[in-house]
Amino acid sequence: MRRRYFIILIIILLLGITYLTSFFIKKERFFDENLRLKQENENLRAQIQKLQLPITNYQLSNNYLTAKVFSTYPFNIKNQVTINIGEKQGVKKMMTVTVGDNLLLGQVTEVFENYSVIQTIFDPNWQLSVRIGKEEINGLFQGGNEQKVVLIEKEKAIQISDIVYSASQEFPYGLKIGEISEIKETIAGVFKEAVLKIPFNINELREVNVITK
Amino acid sequence: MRLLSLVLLICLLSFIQSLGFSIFGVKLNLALAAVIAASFFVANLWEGLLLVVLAALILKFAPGFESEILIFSLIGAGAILIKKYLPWHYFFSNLILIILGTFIFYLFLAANLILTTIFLKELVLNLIAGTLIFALLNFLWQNKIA
Repeated sequence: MRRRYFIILIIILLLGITYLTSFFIKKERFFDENLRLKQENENLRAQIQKLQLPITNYQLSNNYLTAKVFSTYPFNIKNQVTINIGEKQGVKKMMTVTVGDNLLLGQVTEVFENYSVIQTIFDPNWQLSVRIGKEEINGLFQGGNEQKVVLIEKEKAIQISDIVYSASQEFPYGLKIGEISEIKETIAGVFKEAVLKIPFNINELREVNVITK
Repeated sequence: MRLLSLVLLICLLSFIQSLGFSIFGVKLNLALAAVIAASFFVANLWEGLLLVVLAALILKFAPGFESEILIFSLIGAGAILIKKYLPWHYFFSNLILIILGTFIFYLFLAANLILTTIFLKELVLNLIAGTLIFALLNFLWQNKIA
């Protein structure tokens, strides 16, 4: 009987800690040199591609904070990540978050004292005005399980491997989102769609940049 | 001794999951599979709930309230409550509960992913993990299923 009461007490205590306090066990994944280099490579590639596009007078501001991706949600849902900087370090809601200097990851949606939550481009609710390639063709990027650009005018010529970059006023202009991997169009439709290949794996992220200005 | 072993097992698997353990890029829900399998070896409801809240605390990844952790806790508690009402052999009940648990988890948190390969892959991996854990516990405590 005493044992049962003891267990019940521990359950109540643990429930209180889990749901009523901000305590949690900090976990960081182990450093992986290969993944870091791969990410750096994609970032440099994006920088080179940006220089080839007609994006004039754009330079990423030096005002950004580097954060560790503290933990992704330990499940297969990729729409949010947590980073290890928050209000104390100067993070505010709606700030843009990038992988390296040139790859768009998402936007800050919740800020705590020392941690922040990012809504990523993999969120099914994510939508963003984008442009495609050197011709600066307009489109609408949609997040989710399959990331794609929709509402592309049918007569506009797009190709596999064309770069898709941000063109919405909420984000710095010209941040790379991905490259076209597949083009879908129907005979009857007015628009066509492009499926994107995102140049990073969210499960492999270690560090991100939060643009402060 | 049995409870302590189960506590250590749940803590270990939850911790492994929270570190981002994945197979072929898919993160299996080790903690859920372990809690459901372990529910057949606990002496009473309270021991089962203890395992659930321990796993929830270890999985918690950010300050404040997370709906994922609440859903996980409710599914784990639900499995413990209904397992004795299932008419099948415990081995099959374990599989059914893992399928239901994974489905309900996605239903509440990412329903749009249910018809994708991500859900299927995680489901298969959860079933494999749950089966192995159940088999291990059954081997350790043969004929002592609660």
